[in-house]
Amino acid sequence: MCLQHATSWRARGRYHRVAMKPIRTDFRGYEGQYVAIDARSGEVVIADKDPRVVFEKAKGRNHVVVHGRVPTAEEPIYVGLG
Amino acid sequence: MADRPPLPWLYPYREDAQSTRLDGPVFRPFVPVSLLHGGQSTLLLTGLIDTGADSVLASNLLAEQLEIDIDDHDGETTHAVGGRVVKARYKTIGMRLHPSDADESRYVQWEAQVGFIEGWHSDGLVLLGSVGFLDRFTITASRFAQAVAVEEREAFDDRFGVVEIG
Repeated sequence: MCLQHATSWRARGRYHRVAMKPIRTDFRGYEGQYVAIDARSGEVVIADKDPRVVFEKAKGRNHVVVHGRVPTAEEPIYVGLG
Repeated sequence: MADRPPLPWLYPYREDAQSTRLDGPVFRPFVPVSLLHGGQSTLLLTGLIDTGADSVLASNLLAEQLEIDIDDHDGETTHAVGGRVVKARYKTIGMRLHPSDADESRYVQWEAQVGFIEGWHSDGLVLLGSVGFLDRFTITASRFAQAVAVEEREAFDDRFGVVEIG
């Protein structure tokens, strides 16, 4: 992953910015389940309805981060947690 | 403890499972963290940097993983989190911040009071608030750059000078 970013101006005043891209994850199909993600790719690598199962399966797997529960479509979006 | 790695560390914003805002993805400043107590440590967890939170909060399921006797706590209080009132029981434990690629062997470690909450809405999520995290580092979050930078806490004074009161 490129951790550098730069800014440049193009002709005709158009602003062009080469920036760090956010890590995307496709959570579709995992609604209601706990997931763990490969931090380098954003790919879901473990999923289960029981968080303890996800914790167990993630043991010893470097670069894998337990993300939490994927909400269902009916659940509200948190605007801030603190 | 491992040699303290040089900061800053840069983290791209990450997509939250709570998609979608107006049918678009929700990106948040997530960083990989782990918790330690005694000889136990958690897996790598998703830390959400939250300037609106007073403290570090996590699921009591993680206290269970760390074999912490949560009844033997440092103190307890109630918080309003995500529209709910929850009770947090605090315990001083070790915390680690890992780089963006979540390499478990690279980390910055410190001690912090963590509030463990029963019925936390997402057991892998650790809320990184003021006391215990934002008092340890200088954080620069930019949704424009789509990244967050974690620097030594003295970086703020180096950049802006010491802010005098009054």
